[in-house]
This record gives sequence, C-alpha cells and structure tokens, in this order.
Amino acid sequence: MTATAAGPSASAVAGEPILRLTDVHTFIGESHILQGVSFTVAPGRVTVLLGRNGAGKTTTLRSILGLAPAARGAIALDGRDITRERPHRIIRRGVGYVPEDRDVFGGLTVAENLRLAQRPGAPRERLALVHDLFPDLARRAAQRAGSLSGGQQQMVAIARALINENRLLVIDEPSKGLAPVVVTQVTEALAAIKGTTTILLVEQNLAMARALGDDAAIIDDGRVVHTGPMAAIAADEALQARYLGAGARN
Amino acid sequence: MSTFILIALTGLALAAMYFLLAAGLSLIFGLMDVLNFAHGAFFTWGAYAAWWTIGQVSPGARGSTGGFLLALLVAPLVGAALAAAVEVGLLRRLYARPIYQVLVTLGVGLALSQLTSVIWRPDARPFPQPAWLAATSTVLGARVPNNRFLLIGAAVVVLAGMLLFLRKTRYGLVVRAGAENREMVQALGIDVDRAFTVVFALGGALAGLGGLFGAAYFGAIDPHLGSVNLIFAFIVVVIGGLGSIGGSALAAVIIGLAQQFGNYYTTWAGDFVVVLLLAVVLLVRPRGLLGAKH
Repeated sequence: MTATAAGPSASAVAGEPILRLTDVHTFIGESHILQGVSFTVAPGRVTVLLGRNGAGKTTTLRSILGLAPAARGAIALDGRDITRERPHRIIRRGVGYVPEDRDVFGGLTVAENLRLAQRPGAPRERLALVHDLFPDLARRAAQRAGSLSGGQQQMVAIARALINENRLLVIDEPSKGLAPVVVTQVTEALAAIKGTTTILLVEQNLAMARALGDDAAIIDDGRVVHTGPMAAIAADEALQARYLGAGARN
Repeated sequence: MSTFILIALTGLALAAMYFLLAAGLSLIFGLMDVLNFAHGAFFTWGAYAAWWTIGQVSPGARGSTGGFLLALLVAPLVGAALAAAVEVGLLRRLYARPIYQVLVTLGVGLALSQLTSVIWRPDARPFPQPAWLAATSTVLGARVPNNRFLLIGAAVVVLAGMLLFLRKTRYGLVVRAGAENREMVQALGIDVDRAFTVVFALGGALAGLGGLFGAAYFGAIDPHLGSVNLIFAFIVVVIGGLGSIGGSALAAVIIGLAQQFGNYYTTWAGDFVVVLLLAVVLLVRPRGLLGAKH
C-alpha cells in the first residue's frame, strides 16, 4: 500500500484520528524539508514514523509541536487546527514530547526536571506512576540530571512527558545512543503505557518499532510514501530495503 | 586601622551597588542571552524617580524617612515598567538577532539618559537623604556613613531573595532551565515570552533599586550615573561568570574592594586594577569565577 495523503489505514478504522496532518510543508532555512506530509494518528494506538536519516521524521514531529512551524498545509489535534499555534499552547492541549536528544536540563535535579514539566493542576498521583515505571528516578530525585547515564536521562525525558495526563505522546527515537539492555528497559516502559494514551513514535530500531507499533507511516524525502499496519511493514523486507535501507536497525 | 575599615566598608558598599546593577544584567543574560545596554538607563531612571519622589514628599535639602521609604517602592517600579516596555515593545521581535539587540538596547539606553537631561537638565543634583541615613556611625574608630550599611544590607537581602527565587520558585526553575535550553522549556508547555518579560522586568526593578542606593552612595544624581556604573557592572558579570548570581556577588566584592583600595593608595590605580583583573580572568578562566562550562 502506498499513500501520499491521509487515506485509509489501520488508524482509520479505530475511530476519528486524534492527529491529522494534511499536505504539510516545512522549511528549515532555505531547505524544503517536508514536501507535503499527510497522515493520521488514531486514538489509543501507537503510530510509528519510519524513514532513513534525513527523511524528515524529526521535522515532522517538530512541525506538529510548532517548533518548526509548517509553511503550508494543516495540522489538526482532536479536530482543532493547531498549524499556527505557539509550541507551549500546543503542548498544553495535552501533548507530551520526548525529544531526540533527550534534552534534560543537566543543571537541574531529576525532581526539578519533573516539577518543571508538571503543568499546574496536573494530578499528583502522576509522580507515583512515573516512579512506578522508573524506580531509579525516585532514588535519584536529588541528583543533577546532567550526571545521569544516557539511559537514565532517557527515563527522565520520558517521565517528563508522562508526568501530565496527555492525549498524545510524541516520542523521537527513544533508543538512540542507548545500550541494548537500556533499549529493552525503555521498550518495556513504553509497552507498559501502551493503550493508556496515544503515541506517535519516531524510531529507527525496527525491533522496538515492531514491539510497540500498531500503525506505521514511512517518510522518504519529505513525503509520506507508505502507510499501513506496523506488522505488515515489519514483514515486508523489500519495502524496508527500499525506504529504510541501512538506517533501520533490527 | 580606622582608615582601612573605612575603605573596606566603602568598598563593600560600592560592591553592593555594582551587585544590584549586575544581578539584573546577569539574570537577563542567563535566561535570554541578551546583553542589555539599556540597563544603566533603568538605574538612572530609578535614581531620578527616587529623587523626584523624595522631593515631592519632603521638599528641601533634607529628605524624610517617609519619602525615602516611598522611593524604595517607586524606584524599582519605574525600573521594572521601563524594562517591561522595552522587552515587549522592542526586544521581543529581535531574539533571533543578537546584533540588533545590542544596537537597540544601546540606543534605548542613550535615549533614556538623554531624556533625563531634557526633563531635569543635564547638571548634577544633590540627592536628599533622611538625616539618619546621611549621618555616620563609628566602627573600630572609622566614621562610616549609614547609607553604606543600608546599601550592603540591601544587596545581601537581594542576593538571598534571588537565590531563593531561582531555587524555590517555579519561575526560578524556568529561568535556570531556560538558560540551558529555551526551546525545551517551550516544549514543556511553558510560555517563554511571558517568562522573558517577567525576568526583564525583575532585572529592571533591581536596576531601579540600585539607582536609589547609588544616588544615596554618591550623594548626587546626573543623567550619566547609570552608564558610568554599567561599565563596571558588565565587568562584574563577566568576572563572576555570565548568568551566575553568586558569581556576580563574589566579583562585585572583589571589584569594589580593589577599586577603593587602589584609589586610596595610588590615587590613579582603582580603575586600572579593575581592568587588569578582567584581563586576568578572561585569560586564565574565560567562563568567569563561577560561570557554567559550555
């Protein structure tokens, strides 16, 4: 199945999409990075964005969040147009973001990172949930985040997104730069929250993508070239060879 | 001994004034990466606002305590209002253009200083102080003006308040996090623009307060009061470490004492020693005494 517009996919049968991108074009400086990205994310499911390095996956996420505003096209969250909204307003609509390079605040403690992320009015029990998921963070609450290992920093980054009750989690390459044993831990943590919230995941690690993903969209040269069930893409080696190449990790 | 005590306490009072000016600069640079050359004008306007307020409450050469206390409110409010207006009206559009920021803040600083000349004439004016503030107290034989002690006390209170603000409040967290990664702060749902305005206004308030105490320290005000002291405040910020409030406090003490002792013992070396210290720090420890590694 090949699609360049938001068309029938596994997400379409799961209800009205929580997120819809329609013909999104985004420029970084003079470079035309996204050249008409369209896809949908169904509620309660995990949608994986796949593609080679430089295909436009991270820019897609940043456009959704308003960090790299779309020049043309439309992005709708729960049916509301958010294309021109400022990032903090989009986030406050119930979006949690885990960036590609984790971007924890190294000079702040683990507890301060979480306190900063917790929006006013967020239920206090979310902290307990986060500590259940990542017990290490409770033990290291007073430690500066900059002194943590890469895996622990990833846990802080994910915990920051989970500390609020979000409608949508946007997670960019959570396995990047992590040791295999830590990737397993992160995969298990994300699997534990799967089904409780909607997730849009960028991931080059096919094993993680296969373990977590329900639906998938493949981006190539700034366009969505294929959408379908994750299981079908995981089984299609020809498709992987064509669009994911050596960048995909098993 | 009494001379040493007098010079040391005068140096500490000068340090306190530099710190009040430098703390706002450092805070603004820490979060916003803005070198605010208009900061000296906020200091000057704080001084004039205090002078005007005291004059309105108690006309004459000697100010009243009530007038001085009212000026303690008015001077920081004027500094905060000017700073907020500059941030919202001009700087907000220029965050991606550092050179434009420098030019605009420099221009605003010159214009605001010139405006004080136009409104209140360019010549220096004596600053009226309550009798108890202008009087002296004896410390180990040295007769030290009381305004020196008040200035030192104010700086200590501001330092403690800023450390509490940065460590214990949500805005403090935003400032510390924003200094590291502004975009990620936005990506946590925090309105960085509003945080910028609050921080800029807070910096302006500190400059305004510094203006009041600076006027008391020098005993007179003129339109260039802020711009002259801004140079030393920038040196304090650089020596202390950009964005470090504790560093600014430490550097202010070093600069204030070095300048006073230098001027007393040589009559010419005060400013030279300050510049020499700046050169040594830039060569040996470019990030400043307590500045973060980048």
